[in-house]
Amino acid sequence: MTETHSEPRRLSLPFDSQSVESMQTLLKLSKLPEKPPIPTADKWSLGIDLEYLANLREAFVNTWSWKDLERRMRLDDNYVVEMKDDSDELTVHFIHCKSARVDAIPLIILHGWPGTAFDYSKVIDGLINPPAGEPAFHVVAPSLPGFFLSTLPNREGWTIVDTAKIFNCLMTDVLGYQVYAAQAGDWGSHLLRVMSSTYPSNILLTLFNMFHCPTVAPQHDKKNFESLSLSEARAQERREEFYRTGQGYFHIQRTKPLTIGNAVGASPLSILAYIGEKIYSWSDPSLVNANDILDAVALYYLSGSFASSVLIYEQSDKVLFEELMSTPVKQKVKSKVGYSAYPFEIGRVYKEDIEAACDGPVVYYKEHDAGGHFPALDCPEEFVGDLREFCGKHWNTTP
Amino acid sequence: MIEVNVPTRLVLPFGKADADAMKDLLKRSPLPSKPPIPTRNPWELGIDHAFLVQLSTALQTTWSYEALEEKMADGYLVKMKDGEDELTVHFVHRKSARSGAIPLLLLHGWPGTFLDFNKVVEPLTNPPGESDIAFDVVIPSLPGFFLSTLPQREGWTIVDTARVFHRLMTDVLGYSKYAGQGGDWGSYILRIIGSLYHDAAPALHFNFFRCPKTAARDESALSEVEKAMGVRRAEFGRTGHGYLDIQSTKPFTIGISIGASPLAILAYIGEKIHAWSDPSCVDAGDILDTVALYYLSGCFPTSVLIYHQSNSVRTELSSDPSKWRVKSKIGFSAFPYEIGGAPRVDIEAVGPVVFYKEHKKGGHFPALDCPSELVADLREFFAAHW
Repeated sequence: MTETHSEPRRLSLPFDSQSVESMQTLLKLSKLPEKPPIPTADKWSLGIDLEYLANLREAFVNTWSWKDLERRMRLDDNYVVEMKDDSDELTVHFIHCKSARVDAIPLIILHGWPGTAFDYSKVIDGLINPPAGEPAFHVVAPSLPGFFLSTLPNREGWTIVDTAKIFNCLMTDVLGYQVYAAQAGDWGSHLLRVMSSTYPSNILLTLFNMFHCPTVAPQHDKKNFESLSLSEARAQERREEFYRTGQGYFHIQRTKPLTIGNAVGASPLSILAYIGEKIYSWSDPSLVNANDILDAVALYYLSGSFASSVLIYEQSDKVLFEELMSTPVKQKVKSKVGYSAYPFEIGRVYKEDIEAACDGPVVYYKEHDAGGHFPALDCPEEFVGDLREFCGKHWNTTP
Repeated sequence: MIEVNVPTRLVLPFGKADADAMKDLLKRSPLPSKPPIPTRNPWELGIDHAFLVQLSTALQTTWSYEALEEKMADGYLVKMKDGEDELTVHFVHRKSARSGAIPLLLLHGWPGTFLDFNKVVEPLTNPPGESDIAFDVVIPSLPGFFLSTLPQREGWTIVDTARVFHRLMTDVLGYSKYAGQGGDWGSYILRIIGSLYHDAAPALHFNFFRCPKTAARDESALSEVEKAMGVRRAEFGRTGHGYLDIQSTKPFTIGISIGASPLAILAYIGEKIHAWSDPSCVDAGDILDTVALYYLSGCFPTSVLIYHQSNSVRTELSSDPSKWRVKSKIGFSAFPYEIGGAPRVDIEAVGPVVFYKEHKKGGHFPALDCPSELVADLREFFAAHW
């Protein structure tokens, strides 16, 4: 094992209320157009709705509370650890909340883009401190390298394969959890699939809310559209819409990350428009909470991590297309697998799709009638419920 | 009550105070001292960090708003009606003192502006030699760019813009015949003019021409410059069109996000101008002027709409030579760093190519990075074919 690490220490935030005030001043001084570039029948069809953005900015400057966000961040449970692997050095930030229950299941939850480790602030209490009879969890939520206060090794070519090694070490070596469960969406899901493929003896259960893999299920075939359930039909439409008009950010981030990263990251209003559109349009519109958007934007801006966050699209492009979305899939999940199907996720897969992409069996498939790409934010109770149900039934450390 | 088709002298809606506020905003947007990761080629993953820092510093300190303001002389605004649509067109108009001057419509693209042509206006209108041909120069801002407005509806395309610009020349300025020069989006508009209004526009010059590879093309017979442009096209196809993908699908997001911050525009546009130009000729001062125009006029959000609104037309023009055949005579200047150039044989499938001049330097903005070469080509082309 070439990996070494320091002792974890409590996180000390490198920004404070003064930084927040500067951010709010910059928000006030930055200009928004008075009206949308052209009127559109659907206010969101060409990107962010200007009125929604103006309201977001107003709230950000007037009613949003940094103190509230600080509380939600649970700073006492935030740590950083320096990790070294060969010549690579990085700092990993993570949230670690232990349950009082001795039979608690160690659980790593992996965010994506434009998410953060704090996407899980609404679910931590329910996970570590459940009602009697429900499984409890020790929760570990790291920031991916380049996100928030986790750094990226100072070289080209770092990929989620490298991050997989680091995060498995975080669980096993740094925190002493030799076996654990995991939940993930977005880039977290790509990362988790690599982790499960590489460290099958450590990761016993994986639960996904997003899973990008080749599609084989009949629901994807356009010929079958008429026979789909309402929920399936809506999911297929979301998928098609994403491929038709929702991938521009993906293309610019995977080819010119330093342009878009520096350009958008320099201004809190730019981040608000850019990330705000994604969080809104990938969420369940009846549940999306504007304050969650403001919290995410504040974290990206204050930590100065926007520019480094988009690098994952360029650095891990090859792994994504050649090993996770390839036919056949090369990095196959080896644990027992669960999938939570939220209707507003940006690309649903069905049991057959996941089975074809995994070596482990798909033992849990839960369909929901509300919720989107950020379920821990927009339907935290369902998020917790699925983890309790899936892990309660399938967590079994006896070989 | 503003009269339709009657130009009025441009009065700028912004001034030094706005430029100072822009500089203040830049000062409040510090850049980190180094990029997130080091890269072998500093431009490989986007804008070079050191270059961006230099640009931001220069825009705050040495760049002059007053100098830019002087370059905006000869500006006009005209209200035009097109069916149910109304728009304001900003344009530069400089008449030559010479008799027999050729009316010349110069069309910019994205992220260009009318100012792209500021170095060529004087030599074109007032050439040194007695026998040099002279031009009356008309440089409009495309709808949505600088102070030209976009009709307030979905569905406006460059076919509509071509019609409006044709009428600018004929109805507003009274030129029954005119010549044209264009690159980038300007070249697409000019090709539509060459297709629909060729009687009024008998000769058109291009520095950018996206069209399909012809079956007749013999790769081994291509010249050095034709090959160089091919390399640039391939690179663009591999890693250079992310901006086009986001601008054509979510123009409001990228437009409003980038347009809100002068540093964002500097990084976003700065990368494109540098990446598409000849690195040995690109002038950072031109980037700063361009960025200031986009920011101060507030036009960035509307400028990117062209990628969405005219996506289908652009695709037709780029992929099907039968759809928009150019009937005007075509002249082309081939600059080695152009990202959207074409070999002569490919352009010949679209229309009659009577002039194809190759250069050893220059890129996507030749009026900025090699103005004398462009002027010489225009004089030579139009002397023979007007």
